[in-house]
Amino acid sequence: MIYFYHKIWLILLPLSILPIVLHLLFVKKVKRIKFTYLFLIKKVLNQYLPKKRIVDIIVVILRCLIIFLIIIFLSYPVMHLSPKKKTVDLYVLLDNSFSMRQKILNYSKFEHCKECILKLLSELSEIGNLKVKIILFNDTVEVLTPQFVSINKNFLEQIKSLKPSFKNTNLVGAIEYILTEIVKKAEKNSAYKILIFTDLAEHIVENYTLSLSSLPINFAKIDIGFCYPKIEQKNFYFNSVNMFYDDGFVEIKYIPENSPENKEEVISELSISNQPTDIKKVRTFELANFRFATDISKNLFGNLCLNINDTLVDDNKFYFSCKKEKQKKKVLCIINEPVYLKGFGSKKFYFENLSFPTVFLEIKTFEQEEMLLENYGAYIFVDLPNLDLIENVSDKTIIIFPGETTDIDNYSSVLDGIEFIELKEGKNNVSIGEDEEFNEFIEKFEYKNISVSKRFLITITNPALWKVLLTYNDGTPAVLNKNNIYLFSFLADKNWSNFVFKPAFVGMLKYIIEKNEKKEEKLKEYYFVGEEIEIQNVVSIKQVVGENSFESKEKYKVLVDNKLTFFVPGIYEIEEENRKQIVAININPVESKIAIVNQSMLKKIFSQFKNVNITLFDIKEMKIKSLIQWILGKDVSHDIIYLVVILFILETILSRLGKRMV
Amino acid sequence: MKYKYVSNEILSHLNKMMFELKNTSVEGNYPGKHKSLLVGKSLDFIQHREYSKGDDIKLIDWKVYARKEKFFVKQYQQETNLLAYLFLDCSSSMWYPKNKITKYEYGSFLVSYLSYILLHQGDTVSVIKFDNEIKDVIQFVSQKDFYSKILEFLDNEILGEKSDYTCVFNFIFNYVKKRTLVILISDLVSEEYAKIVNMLKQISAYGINLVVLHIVDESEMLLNLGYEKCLVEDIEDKSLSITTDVYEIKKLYQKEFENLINFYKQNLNTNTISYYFIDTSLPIIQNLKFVLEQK
Repeated sequence: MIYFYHKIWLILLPLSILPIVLHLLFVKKVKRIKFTYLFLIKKVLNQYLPKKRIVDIIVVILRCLIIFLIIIFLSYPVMHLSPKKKTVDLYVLLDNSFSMRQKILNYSKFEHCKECILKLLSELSEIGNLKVKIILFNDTVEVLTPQFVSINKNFLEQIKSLKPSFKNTNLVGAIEYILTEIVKKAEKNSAYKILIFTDLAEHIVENYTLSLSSLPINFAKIDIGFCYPKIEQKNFYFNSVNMFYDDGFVEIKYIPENSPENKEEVISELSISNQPTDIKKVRTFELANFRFATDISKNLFGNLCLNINDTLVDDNKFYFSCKKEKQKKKVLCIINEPVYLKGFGSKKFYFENLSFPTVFLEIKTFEQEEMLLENYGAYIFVDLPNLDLIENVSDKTIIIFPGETTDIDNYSSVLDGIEFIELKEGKNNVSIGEDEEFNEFIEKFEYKNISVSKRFLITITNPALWKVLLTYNDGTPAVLNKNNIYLFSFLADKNWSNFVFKPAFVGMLKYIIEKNEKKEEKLKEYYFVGEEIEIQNVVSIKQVVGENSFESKEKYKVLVDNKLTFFVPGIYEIEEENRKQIVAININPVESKIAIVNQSMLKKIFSQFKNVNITLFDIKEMKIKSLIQWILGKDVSHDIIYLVVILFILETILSRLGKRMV
Repeated sequence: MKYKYVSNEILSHLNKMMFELKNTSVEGNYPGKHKSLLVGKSLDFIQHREYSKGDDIKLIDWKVYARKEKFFVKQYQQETNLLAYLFLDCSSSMWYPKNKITKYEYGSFLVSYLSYILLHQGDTVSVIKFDNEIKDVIQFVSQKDFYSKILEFLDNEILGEKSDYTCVFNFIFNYVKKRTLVILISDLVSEEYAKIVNMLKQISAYGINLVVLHIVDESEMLLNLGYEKCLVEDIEDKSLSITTDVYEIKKLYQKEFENLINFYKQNLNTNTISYYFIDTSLPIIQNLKFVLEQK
């Protein structure tokens, strides 16, 4: 069975007989000439005409065939898969993570992918034996169609209404989910098509080769097609940044890097208080520095930017602040970062420079926990699974961020007086790597405790021990405090899962601790909000943290219906008629345009599987036809071209032969 | 000049030309410049014969008598004039090509100038036009003053039909005396060219001095039709046609045409038949000189 993508060309098929028509026209409408020695011409023709006529007929047939095949080629034929398989089951995975909101050519990556899926499925709706299963994924998996379904209008409308989330991406988890389902089916000698629409950020795929290699999927033939918006730009980020203050001068030493790794020049710009101060060309993987004179008795905000033309706010920018204080506080920061979040190169620098230069901060991973905790004055734990450490340092300031890998039971036992309530998601929201039934992959999966759908609501069971410092705008606690322990519960709100890595968060953190430690000053009411907050008769709005930030644009706008919209992230003090509140504003950032597809890395993940074929499609080109070919089966267009070339050569030889026969 | 097939310039050249039949005898009505079979008064000595009663004593060769002591008389070949029949093919194939001088016109010039030469040397000329039958005849004209009659005759152009040489054959056997000169001016276009050759041989065997002037246009030799692919129609029979790629078959055609000419040359060059290939692209005077020199 053949499917034609450009059916319009098929109307030209009658042109295939053009050579025959021309041949006949030529016979009937040639120039008539009267001549004398016709018998001699006849005699000549009789010598070779019978053979020549056969050759001529073959040549005409060949020409017909060539035109026929060219028209067929233009109509883009797709041969179906093996006729033995009655239906084609297609998995369509759509990445709706936060990064998919990034805009390319006026539309977000998600819109590009969605449009591509809609176009593709509309085209394929004519194919009766094609069944599709749509799965959304970010750090969780949401099955849009539990069963394989035929493509219909409602189905397409459903896809149209999809929107990207604010979550992170766990691509490998999503692939694992599909592969697990395939393993469950265990249809031997079967073939599967998995089409994944994602931006393929580089950090998503690294270090996952081993985790997938144990999957026993060798019984089936699996084709995985990655559809992504190909971006040619490179990703620039900082490997390490060190700041030194010396006699009125600040020196920043840094090593710029890029991905894919390739030594090249990049423009590096230093901005102080939103003013471009210095600019220089630096080479990646080589130490570079900026040195400038400043008075750090005043607040100093600045940022260092690589490749200023890029809209990147995370990877290619390093924010710093300087404030001279009398005493230095030594802070230990233990980061047990989930593997799938690796790659946000500069976020650790927020911690490193939490209160530069007065705070000396060491970054350690959880694996390095055997350090002498008593050497530090304060601790920041990001997703620390083992809270036994806390018990030993109860006299120090401890800031805890429960992460997505947090073992709740462990927390509850150590941090008595509060209760973690796991928020349940909808039925279709299945945790990656988990399933109701036991599956053997989970056992072998290195990060089996990762359940990214896990979100907590922290409630205080003993108000005498704990007090709420901050709440979300729906009233649920956001930051709790018990003596020296500050517990941040940012995971309760989906939209805030990346807040910890934003500059506003650093300011927020400092602000809260500072206020709390100054016992004489009463804490005000705090709200975490998104970009919009409801207000009543605003008296004044003041940005208390993030002042001198780098955005010169309008920071907020009061809307008619008692709403306040913010454009710049930061901590704001909003004074209303009856109350004063502090709000932390997080703005959906414009993420890096540089989501890099490292093909070799991608293929490395599946290197263990000989039965898995990886194909990459750039959805910016919107080559729907090549996608259709990939889904339905063999790309016969190349075969047709080869055939046309062979026929053309044959036609040339035969027509020459015909002439030589004379 | 009021006649179509004559030119003063060429006529001035023709005055010096002679049409002679070498090594052959003819029978004429009047004394002339050609050898006769009859023995008579002439300058051309043939043989000695033993004197017999009644012979003129003046003819006795006394030198022979001195040697052999017998009387021998000298015999001389009688000279006579020539009876020339000029057959001009006026079939439709002779009206080819259309864009330049046709073979018929070229043949008419040849008839005109040959007649002039023959009349000028005192011979008698008769011109016959034919296609598949005898179309028109001008009876014997023996004085050059009557040359204009021939020109008038030629000016009366006839567009004939398909040629058939049987009529020529019949005419010659019925009306033409032996030992006369027959000049056939034709393009000899016929699929049955072997039959034509046989007929001409028979005419020759009958005792006719036959001169064949085969008129051919250059485009017929080279198959230059001006088009690559065309429907070629037979000029004499419109029901016959063939579509062909002229360029494709050109070389083979030229070879076939050469074979045809060679066939004519081989079979029509005997003691009594002379075959001449007349290319109409050459000046008439050049072809004429060639024919007269060869004779």
